[in-house]
Amino acid sequence: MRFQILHETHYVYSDPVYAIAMEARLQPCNDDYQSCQRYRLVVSPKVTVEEYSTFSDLRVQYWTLLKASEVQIVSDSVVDIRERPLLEIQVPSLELDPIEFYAWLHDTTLTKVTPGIQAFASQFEQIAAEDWYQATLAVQHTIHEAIDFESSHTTTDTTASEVLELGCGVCQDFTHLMLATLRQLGIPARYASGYLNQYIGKPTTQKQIMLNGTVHQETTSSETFVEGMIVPSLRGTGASHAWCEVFFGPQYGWRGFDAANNLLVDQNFIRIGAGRDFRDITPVKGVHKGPAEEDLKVTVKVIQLT
Amino acid sequence: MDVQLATSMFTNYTQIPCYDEMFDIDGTPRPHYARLFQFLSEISSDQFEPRRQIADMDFLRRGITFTVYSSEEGVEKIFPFDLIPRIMPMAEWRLLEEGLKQRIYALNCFLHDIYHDQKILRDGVVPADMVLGSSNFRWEMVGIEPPHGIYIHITGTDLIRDADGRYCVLEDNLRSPSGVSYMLQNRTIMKTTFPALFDGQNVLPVETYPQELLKMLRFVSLVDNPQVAVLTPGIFNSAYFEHSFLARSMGVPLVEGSDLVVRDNRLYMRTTHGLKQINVLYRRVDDDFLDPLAFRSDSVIGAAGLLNVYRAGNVTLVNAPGTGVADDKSLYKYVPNIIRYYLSEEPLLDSVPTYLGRDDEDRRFILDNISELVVKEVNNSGGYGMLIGPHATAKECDLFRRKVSEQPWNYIAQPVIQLSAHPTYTSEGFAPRHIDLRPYILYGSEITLIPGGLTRVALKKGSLVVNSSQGGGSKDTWVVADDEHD
Amino acid sequence: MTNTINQDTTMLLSRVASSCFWLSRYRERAEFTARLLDIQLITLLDTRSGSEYNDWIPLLRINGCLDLLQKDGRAITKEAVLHCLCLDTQNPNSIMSCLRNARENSRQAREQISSEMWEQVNSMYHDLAHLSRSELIANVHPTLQNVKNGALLLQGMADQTMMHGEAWQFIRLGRFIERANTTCRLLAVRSAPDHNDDEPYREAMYWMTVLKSASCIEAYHKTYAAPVARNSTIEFLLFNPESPRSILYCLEHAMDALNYISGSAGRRFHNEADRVLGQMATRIQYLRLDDIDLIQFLDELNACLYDVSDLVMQTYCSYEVA
Repeated sequence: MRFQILHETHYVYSDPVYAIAMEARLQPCNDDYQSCQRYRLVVSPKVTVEEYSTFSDLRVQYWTLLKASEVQIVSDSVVDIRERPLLEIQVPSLELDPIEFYAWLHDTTLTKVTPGIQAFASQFEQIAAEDWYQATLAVQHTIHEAIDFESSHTTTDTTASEVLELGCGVCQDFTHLMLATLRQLGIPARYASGYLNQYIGKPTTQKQIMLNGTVHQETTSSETFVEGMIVPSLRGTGASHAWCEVFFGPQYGWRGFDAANNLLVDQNFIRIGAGRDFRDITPVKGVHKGPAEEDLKVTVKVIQLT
Repeated sequence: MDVQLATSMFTNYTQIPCYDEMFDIDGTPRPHYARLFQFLSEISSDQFEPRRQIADMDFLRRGITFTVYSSEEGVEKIFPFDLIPRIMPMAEWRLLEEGLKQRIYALNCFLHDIYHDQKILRDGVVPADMVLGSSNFRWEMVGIEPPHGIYIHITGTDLIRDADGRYCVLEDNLRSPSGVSYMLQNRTIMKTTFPALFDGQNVLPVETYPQELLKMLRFVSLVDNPQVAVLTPGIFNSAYFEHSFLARSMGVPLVEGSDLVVRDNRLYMRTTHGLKQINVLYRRVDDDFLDPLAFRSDSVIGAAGLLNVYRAGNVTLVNAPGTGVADDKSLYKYVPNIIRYYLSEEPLLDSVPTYLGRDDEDRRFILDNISELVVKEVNNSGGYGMLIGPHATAKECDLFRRKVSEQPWNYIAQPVIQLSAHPTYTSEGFAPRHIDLRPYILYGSEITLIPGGLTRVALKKGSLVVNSSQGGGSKDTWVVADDEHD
Repeated sequence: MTNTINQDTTMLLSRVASSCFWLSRYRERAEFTARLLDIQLITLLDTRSGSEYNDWIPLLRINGCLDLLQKDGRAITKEAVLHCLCLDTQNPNSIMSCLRNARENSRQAREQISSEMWEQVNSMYHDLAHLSRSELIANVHPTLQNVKNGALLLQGMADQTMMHGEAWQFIRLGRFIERANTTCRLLAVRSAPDHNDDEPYREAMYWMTVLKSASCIEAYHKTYAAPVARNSTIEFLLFNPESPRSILYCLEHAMDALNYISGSAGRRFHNEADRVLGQMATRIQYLRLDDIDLIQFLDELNACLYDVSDLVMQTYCSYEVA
């Protein structure tokens, strides 16, 4: 499938601000199932955009502005995605290179292991000892059930343990909680950022056949029609999306799990890349000087081209 | 002679159980102190005290002060300066010099390795989580090649001497070691207040340090004839005097965060005639505050986007970000092995035996012997967050036992080293007080040291804490060339 | 190896330039306040008006602290005035405040000014900071003498120990702008219409005090060889081309410093600061006392000096980078 993603971030300041420095982590990566055909980043006011890559091979664009009253960042990407493997696998507990996987096995500020996280994770210890894949599914499912999707209660600084206490959050909160839980169980997990096709379900229905033949997961989009518009029912559409990726050994590699939607990550998910938590892969971040109020608007359109 | 001694300020000098720098075990002055001892024996406190006051006034007048904000109006205090110099024979200094060069070279190899191939971790010489799990490991620095491969351009290593007079490294300060201006000012003030002390002594000069520093800063640039600047947090920083002193002595601008502008992937400063590019930034601002975009976003003393300029190779930062991971108190234990690993040499300098809270066996030892150990927080400095077992109450020991049990990785312990003592002027005449030594090491085209360093002295009787924040003072440090070999 | 010329000597940080300018203004202000007060104390010994209030009001007006002192409802006594003008940190123009600000600015400009200068301003600050109110009252003349002499020494050090580059020119500029400003205030208060004395000897005494406050009574005598009188005093303080205290002299030298900084040869202005100061400096060159309404002119001059100071900051220090 081919998608075009238009991601617009618009900062408006009440007064001019100075010494603005910004970074964008918006460029869809290339991997075994995805290739980025086009990536354009347009920043206005016009600036020279530079680029580097991080320890997790993420492409980061950055720029500075001496003064501005508003900054608009538009990324336009075209990505081809092949079907990602969704078949259920058996993954007994693995021995991994502790150095190569260090970042994916240890907690961070936002995924800190607390007594609350330990208690939450302990219910999966048994299953994790037997099979990492089943454990991951169980964690995803439990979090999906336990946490309500509500956007106004958490911020970008909310930790996994706070999400657990609050019982609600957005996709990044679901992801942080899942990361903290899996890492506590010794399962390597990373924070993936990207997009979810909002019209998922119209042409495709995701079916997951379990080995024993029963249908494990079936997503049929329950679009509702409001005033002539298709209102997507999936969470994390219309904005950047985040999910959790888990490593199942060299044979199966990394697979994605979306706890917010209780979905396996398939060809409707467009990957930007991965990091230890949100802070490693914040879509757009910036700092400035000057006491202005900041108004931020983000819109994301995912268009299925083929 | 006897008559003089009876009235001398050494009359009540009683050695304490440790290595005495001036006297051997029989109370005879060591050969390199003979002349100084002779001079000081003949001086009375009536002659000494006014000079001490002049020296203090001199520090105040020069503004070598730090501010204590106890009331609304800050009170300015000087760091106490003791007029009796500490003397090191050249031969002894040479050994230290070689040992420190070896250590700094190896630590720089280590930093390069952990931010690139991580071979030493893969080979299991240093536990991976001690490095990768450290809050001072900067993931942002992974893969960045610092200009000329140098991370630790400026180091101030703390050395102590044990009961046998053996020099041991106590701490590697690889971030923004301070105090070098005191090394220089102590000498200047010593020369003006007590010129006679220098008679017949072949003291090596320290005055060229700023020139050596400038030479190094110019070398580590990637451009010819670079613009160098010193970055200070500002006039309220306790080391502001040092920052301005070094900038002035090198003739380079002293900039603050508000002077800096990042534009087009380059670093500039605001001048009266527009922006001027900076090629080398000797920053005296901690990593956390260096760049609000990359590190702490609430910092107002850095420059937003600076790390990206650095990554692009358009500015050299001195020291490089992320060096703190290598002066961690628990990593300290592995430095001898780090030296062996990269250099295939035996370490020339000794270390203090160190027990790690994170290690099960070590932790048991710490908990069982806490009242005989010094327990330190891994990421604290300035003499804070530590327990000196033999000087602590049972309650304090219990508190630290609990801390070590709860956060084992955050604590290390070392046996109490009775730091060497040096005659020091007190209200009761000259008395032994514990000292340490911080030489300053520069890493540019080669690794160099200025002969001398900062000798810090614990002015409180019996105290082993030399930090200025904990009642410490300092002394002039003399490396003396042997006359007969000249 | 040959040494290359340090590029820095031709380069001045904006923040440091501003500090040089202000440290110099505060130095000048401290010197002026000390002299003003000292002269008034001496004058009052034999020319008391009979009301402490009337004795001190003009001084407080010149210093700009009248409101501060009256706000608290404090009686205007000699002691209160001494404290307010010398030690009171609430008064931004007290000698203590000036020395503190001069010192803080010197600290900011530490990389440019010489060590001698720093040690001098630092010593002056500590000397006064350690002085109690009672010690001040007991030793007021020596204290004021020390401030005056110390401030002059600091000025001499700036001239003799610093590079005469841009930083020094900012110090010069600050000195002359501040001095023009204080002379302007002195004249404005002292020539206010409410002052009118019919007794000729009192009138002469009055204007002698004004000249002494500006440290130029001897220069006046040399120039006029006539008794001190109102018009010639005002004329002298405004237009004398040789007295380093006259407004004309101050503006010409401030212009010279500004020309050095902007790099213009003084034939045409480079920026607004150049233009505004240049207009006033040129105008005053060709004025006579008869041509002006004094009070109105002093108002204009005061506003002009304020603008120039502001424009200098905008042009060289707080400009927007593009």
